[in-house]
Amino acid sequence: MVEGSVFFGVIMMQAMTDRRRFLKAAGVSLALPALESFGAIDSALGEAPKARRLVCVGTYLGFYQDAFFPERAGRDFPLSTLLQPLAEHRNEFTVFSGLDHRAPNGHAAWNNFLCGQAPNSYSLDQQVADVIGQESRFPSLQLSAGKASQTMSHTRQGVALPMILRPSVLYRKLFASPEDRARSEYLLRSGRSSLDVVLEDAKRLQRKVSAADRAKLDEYFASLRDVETRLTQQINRVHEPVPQTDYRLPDYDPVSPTLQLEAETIMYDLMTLALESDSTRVISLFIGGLGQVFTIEGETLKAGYHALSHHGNDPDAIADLIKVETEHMRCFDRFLTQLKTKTDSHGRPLLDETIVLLGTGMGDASRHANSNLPTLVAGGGFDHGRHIAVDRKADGGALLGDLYLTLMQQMGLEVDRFSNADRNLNHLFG
Amino acid sequence: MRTGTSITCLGSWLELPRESGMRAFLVISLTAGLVQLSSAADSWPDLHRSFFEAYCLDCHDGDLEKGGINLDVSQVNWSESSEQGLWEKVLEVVSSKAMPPSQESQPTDQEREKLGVWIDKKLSQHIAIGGTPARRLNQTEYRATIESLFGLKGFELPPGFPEDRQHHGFDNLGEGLVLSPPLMQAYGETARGIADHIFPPITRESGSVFATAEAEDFAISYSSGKVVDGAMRLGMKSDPIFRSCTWPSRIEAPSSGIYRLSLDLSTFRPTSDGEPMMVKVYARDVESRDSIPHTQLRLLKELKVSGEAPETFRFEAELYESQTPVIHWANARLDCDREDKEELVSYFLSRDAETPGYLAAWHAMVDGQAQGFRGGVGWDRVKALLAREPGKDLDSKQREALLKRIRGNPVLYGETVIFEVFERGPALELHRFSMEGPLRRVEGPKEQERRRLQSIFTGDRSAPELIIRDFLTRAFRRPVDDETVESFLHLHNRHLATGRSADEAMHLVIRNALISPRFLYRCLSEGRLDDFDLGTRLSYFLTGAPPDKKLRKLIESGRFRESGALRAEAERLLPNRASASLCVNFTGQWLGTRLLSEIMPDPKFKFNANDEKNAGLEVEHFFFTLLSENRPMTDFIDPDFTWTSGRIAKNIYELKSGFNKKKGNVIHRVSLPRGGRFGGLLGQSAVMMATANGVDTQPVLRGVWVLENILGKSPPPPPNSVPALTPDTAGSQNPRELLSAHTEASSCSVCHRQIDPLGFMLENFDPVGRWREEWPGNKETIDASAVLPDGTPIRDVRDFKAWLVEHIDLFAQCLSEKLMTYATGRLPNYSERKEIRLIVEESLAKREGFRDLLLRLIESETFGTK
Repeated sequence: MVEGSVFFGVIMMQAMTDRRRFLKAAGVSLALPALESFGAIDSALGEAPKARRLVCVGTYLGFYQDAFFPERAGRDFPLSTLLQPLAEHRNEFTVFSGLDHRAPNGHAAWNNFLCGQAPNSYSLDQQVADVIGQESRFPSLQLSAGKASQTMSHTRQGVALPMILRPSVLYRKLFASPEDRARSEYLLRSGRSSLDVVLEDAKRLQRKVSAADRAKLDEYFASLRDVETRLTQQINRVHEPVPQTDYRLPDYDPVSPTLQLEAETIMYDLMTLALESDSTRVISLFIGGLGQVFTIEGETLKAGYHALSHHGNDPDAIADLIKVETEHMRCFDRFLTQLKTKTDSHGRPLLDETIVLLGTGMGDASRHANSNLPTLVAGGGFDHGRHIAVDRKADGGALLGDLYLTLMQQMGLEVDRFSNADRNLNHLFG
Repeated sequence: MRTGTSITCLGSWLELPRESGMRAFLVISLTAGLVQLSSAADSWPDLHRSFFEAYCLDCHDGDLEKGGINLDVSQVNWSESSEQGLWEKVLEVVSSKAMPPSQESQPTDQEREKLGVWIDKKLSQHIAIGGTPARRLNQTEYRATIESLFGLKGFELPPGFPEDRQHHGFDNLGEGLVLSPPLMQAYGETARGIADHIFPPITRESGSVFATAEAEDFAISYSSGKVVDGAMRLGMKSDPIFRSCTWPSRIEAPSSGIYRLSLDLSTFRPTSDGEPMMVKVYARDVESRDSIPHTQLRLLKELKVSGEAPETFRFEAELYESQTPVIHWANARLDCDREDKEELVSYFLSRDAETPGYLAAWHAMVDGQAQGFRGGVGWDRVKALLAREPGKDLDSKQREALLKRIRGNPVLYGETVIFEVFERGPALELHRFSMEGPLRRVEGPKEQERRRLQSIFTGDRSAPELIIRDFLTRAFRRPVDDETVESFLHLHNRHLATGRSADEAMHLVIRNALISPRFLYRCLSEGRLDDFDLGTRLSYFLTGAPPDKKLRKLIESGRFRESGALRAEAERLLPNRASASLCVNFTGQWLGTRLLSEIMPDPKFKFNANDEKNAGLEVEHFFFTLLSENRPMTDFIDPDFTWTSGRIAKNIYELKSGFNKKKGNVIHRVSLPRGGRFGGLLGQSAVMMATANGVDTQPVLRGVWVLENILGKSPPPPPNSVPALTPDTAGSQNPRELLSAHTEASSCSVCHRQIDPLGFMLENFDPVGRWREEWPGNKETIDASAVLPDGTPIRDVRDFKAWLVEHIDLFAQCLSEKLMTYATGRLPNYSERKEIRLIVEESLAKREGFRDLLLRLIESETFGTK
């Protein structure tokens, strides 16, 4: 791998890059601006919530259920094949079986993952971001490793939020260069100083209209004044330091489907940096699954990822599928490791107060079935180390939405309803 | 009138029955000019005082004030809107004989008429036509306005853009279109985004590329290629690129330009006929879908490869920013596209002829398999089976069964057998690729569009005033006064004076023009609309967008005010397709079918997402057909056709024929018998869905829906103290009995006596609009009968439709008022409804169709007044 000279373009590939090059992110340094301490926020809110950050990871093709769900429930469950890579963290996560949204089957219903029973409705991450998001530079970040075929994060109005596909774009957003910042400042200042012209003209207009319309235009003036105040606040903040890092991206963006695992690794690295620098507290990451054929440990698999997911119970196809899913789990393992190693401004490991949800809207890709969704929650101050097997009948039909309610409540949100769920799992998971 | 109702709630929805003969006094010639507004309070003429004393004041005096109404007043302030409202109600109930209640003593028809004429005269005198409050562009209009102003096709608003509120069912009424700080913020950000799109910030030099890729640095999708002995082999010519093509996975053009490409290619075991392999090199945006057919990509170069030793092909090609070359072997033999499945079958047959036992091995491998063998997995097994039992026979039945399976799923078999081709050829081999450049820059589509946009603002740099005036005139949809031009020019020049560039100064002008109230609001002047505002109203009404070039020119030339010009323009701008703004946005809000996307029908109805989409389309296509074919208004109620999909025609509308069986999921025009259960708005699946909740029906909701949207009456919301009563139509008790409390309790009955029967009339339609005879819970036969306020008994919706066809003026008035509301951005007032009534009567009397009526409405004073 020869390093290129400019940020965006030059690529010179000699051989397959060693993806693990990027794992060294744990050794990457991050220069943090002086951050407002959490203490100040705590006192304002009263009792401090146990979790302050939320990461939602969704894999498009889900996980092969037999390799994901542990055989036994409870605390001493044996690690399943796909959980083996997470062995080091077994006391920092809980795996759930038996949960879903009771939604119809099919690819289209994948979008339910964070939305509950109705696809394309107000998603978990956005519900959280709308409450706690304003405390950081970016209320939330939506990312995708590999081209996104579905949507995952949806606003209150149900609008799907676009996801950042290129790591270079996310990097620029997080670690704004001096040029980028100079431009923001220019836009803010020129925007504010020109408002007087618009205001003058609007006032002239207002004098000519009827009394009723004058009252209507008062809404306009009030809104414009609000914008002016915001611009001033933003200008005052423009010189606040932003984090700097010596983390280096490769000289290309791994957008090609075959480079998905590489993209995934880099996205996790950047996500850690974003959380560490408190640039955001809510992140969603979509892990796509198209027809790409992976080469894993030097061996090219015999079919594309999507084709493998339609394994039709063929043992060879399943074996290859598990290889791909194991790679996803390895990426996830490294992410958890980083969250345990890196600390917040109080010196606490990031994972302590970060809820990491790993799940999917697809229960069984081979049949496009959307029940019993593989789900795992790490961090966030819960009592972990368990496999909670929810029995559809015995537990009164607990839903994945009930788990989401528990997660939101852990973050201090006062909610008791999420889509079709109106209880929670606090009695099972606390 | 037999059904007495209190004026507190509704009045009667069936006002002015035909047989009363009372209609005449309302047909009072409408003063076309200005209405005289006298604010003086008016004393009661003695004659009317005695009427009220005789028939009203027993209940409606200062002591009893029944229904909160006190008519014991000595004078009326006619210019006060609350008093206007009160007297409108009085007029309505007196003339419809809803009051006094039937058990009380009744005035004579003559007495009623006299009072009616007098109230009408007063109201008409004091209620002027017009009065839309300043009307902000709503979200759809704003998007369309930006698209039109800059010629940005497919412009999308940023996600999270604040939604508008519906007000009286529509999201484009002046009163409901408030402007909030978050929305202003969004306007500012969108304006900046557009300005950036036209004049992008100067970025750092985007760099150049000199990169090389080896075989393993190429993308593989599904079974499109395989690296064997250090070369990427391709063997398929299917259309979608993810089945046949490959591309370097880490190389993309940093900017649009000419690049020098080099490809090392060879043939692997080519066919013996000596035909060279034809290779096509295309350009593709790295972020685009990889399921697109290669035929949709831009061809860069065609190469002929014949040597078995690698040959280097060098050429120059134009690549745009973020593009990379895609390599496709055009005359490969193998193809697994469905339409070319016979080619795949012929491959299997020729292989079997060559290698006895070949098909038998496939048959053995496939047996009992679903599809897990896809890819190299399957081929390895076939190979093993073939080695174990070479030359095995397959009887003709087994053979045919296998070929049938191949034809049934060519992709599955193609993506598996390709692994044989990778091993034994013929295959194209790709050894190495390099790319260098850009040697020189070129304009890609992005740059071309940018240049077009910039040219609007950079025409003659020496005359910024002209550029600004021209832009503001289009942005503000009317001539801009000198002062306004001056202020924007000042902004521009001041920015230049601080050392900023001309581009930056225009960037600032764009940002500010797009947050000006002159851009964000329309029709701000008073009284009769001038040509510009009238053209704007017409255009947004019919097209959802600002006036197009043709209309602008017409207005500027002064010919728009010539007689007939408005009508001619309206005819030109009428929807020419069912997906036009008027058909989609008006019907979706009038009928409430916009809600459809939020309703998930219970799986038990077997109504999938496609059906739901088609049900929504039906409403739009139906409306469009009635409009474009100028069909009679009665066709809204009882037509002889509809638009629907084969699935819905069969499963919901009980049709056995008359629809296209091949179009199960595609909407098309279908004939229906008149007078049946289905057909017309009352019975359309979308309507029945939007008035239910996906699981069970809600008769109250449906009753209100009929009153509001078919009969044009708005029942008031239930009092706060009363919980909503929604009978469980899927439960074990008879829903009609459950709801009887409604019609018994006196506080409810005044409204619900009218609402509930209309709702139960539609109970034969389940939550997706399928006909049913019994309630799902208690299995009792549905009683859909009702007695209409004029005494007409109906058995079910069919009788109601027949009655409505007889009384089509009620529906025509309702639809006309809805259209006028949507067009003018205000609820029509007394005088306006009166004008509409005259128009409807004349149009119906002349047996005109829907389009004629719509054009008459556009030519009305109500339409033409702010």
